[in-house]
Amino acid sequence: MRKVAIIGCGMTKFGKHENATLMDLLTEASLKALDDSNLDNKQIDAVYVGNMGSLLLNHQTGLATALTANLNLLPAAVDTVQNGTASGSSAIKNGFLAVASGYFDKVLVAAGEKMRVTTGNEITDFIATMTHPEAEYAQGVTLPSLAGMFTRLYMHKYGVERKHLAMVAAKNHKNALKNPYAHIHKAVTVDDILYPEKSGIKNPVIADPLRLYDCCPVSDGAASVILCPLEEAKKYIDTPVEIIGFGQATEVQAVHEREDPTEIKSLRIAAKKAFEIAKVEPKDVDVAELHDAFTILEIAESEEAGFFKKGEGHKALEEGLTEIGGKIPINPSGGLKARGHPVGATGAAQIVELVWQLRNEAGERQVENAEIGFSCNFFSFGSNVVAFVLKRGD
Amino acid sequence: MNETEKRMIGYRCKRCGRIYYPKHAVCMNCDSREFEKVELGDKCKLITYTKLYATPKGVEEKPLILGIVEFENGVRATGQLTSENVEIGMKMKPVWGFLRKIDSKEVYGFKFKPAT
Repeated sequence: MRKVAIIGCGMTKFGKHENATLMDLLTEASLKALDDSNLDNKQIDAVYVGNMGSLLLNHQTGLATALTANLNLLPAAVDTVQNGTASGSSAIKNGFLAVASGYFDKVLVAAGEKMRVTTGNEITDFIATMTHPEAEYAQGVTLPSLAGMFTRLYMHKYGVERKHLAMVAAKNHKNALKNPYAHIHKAVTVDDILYPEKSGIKNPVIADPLRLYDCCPVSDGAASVILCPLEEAKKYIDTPVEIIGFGQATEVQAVHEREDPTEIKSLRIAAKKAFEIAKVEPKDVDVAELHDAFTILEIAESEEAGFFKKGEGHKALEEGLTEIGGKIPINPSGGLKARGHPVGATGAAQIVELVWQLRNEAGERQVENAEIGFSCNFFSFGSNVVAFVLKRGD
Repeated sequence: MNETEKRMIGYRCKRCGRIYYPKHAVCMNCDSREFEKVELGDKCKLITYTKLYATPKGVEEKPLILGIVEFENGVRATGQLTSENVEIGMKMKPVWGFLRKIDSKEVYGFKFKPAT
């Protein structure tokens, strides 16, 4: 296996893009990544595009083929990768393996989603197609409902309170204020969230005990990276970022079948594998991008990834350990909560944020001296989890 | 069989006896591929629940009450609850009824009703 570096990255602003097609978004992110890498177009020999719902939402399939022609990267070998809300990470995995194997040298990975094309109840139904068709979907189960049931259990078992959920949202909103690419630029305090009648913010119940401020928004956006063998990376860029660890693991499809429904074993396995390959430990991580589609998930993931003991993630929040400047800053980008969640793009956006952090290019939200980054991206409620460990190259 | 006689079904591995809901092609415990249908019974308790206000297309009712129940044999199931006055640990029982529409087609199945 060859060592693999990220030598370029780019993304669109996340949010509502009324005047851009999905292909426009993928193109913008990819051109930025190509420019960032200083590569010539003709050097790209493979392209992977991550996306979840273009067939259903945008009446288009075969995004990788279309993007490759649009960018004049012909005759590169290309595939579109669908792994639900983890499609972005899975596309990067494919690129990583392609370069690591030695078969391809220069790979473009793009990931995007254009979701703001229909109503909220159609989008929540679309996302729910990741659940078990008979045992969950047919019942009306959606991702927020799984998160609501999980949150209630977590509160019952570990003493997590609504204020802890609000701390996740307030932190991620605060971080996103410093991220020009974020979907939501709105400062909000824990009290604003807990007492909407006083603060005047709209915070209706979505899936009790979860409210609007516990849930990520529905976003449009795309993110891209360029991969090449580490040994060549310095030819193109001063500060390559190496993918030093990758792990992926699956779980039963119906959440109720998990041995312990408050655990996310797939993340634990994926993270352990990624850290083993990387030869680092969770305590070595300087910055993490977690899949906070719901506030409770950031807490649970911070435990399953190994940053805190099970049941203690909410205490770490209270102590400010996950803020920028804390022991292990989580979601300096604003996370899914505030950067936004164009589902298929999210895994790639996490990697782009880590690259910026590790290259010391994250501006006002920069985590000081960040050398090692961790990301995890969920399919559905964690039935398929992709994790990466990145390291700043010297 | 009329609707009141419908019973919720699980799938028991013929080799090791572990019961599944929903069905699997291969036993997660012993890798056997042979299963037989078994009735899950009428007695279950509520493990967790939510009141869903952001309902998906195909579900008219708001809020939709959803929960996870556990039968006496340890098998769990996710489903709609017929009441919002529920709490963790409450005794429930499966009842047959309308669930939702998928592509305008009505889907029926088991939901869970407080047993007391």
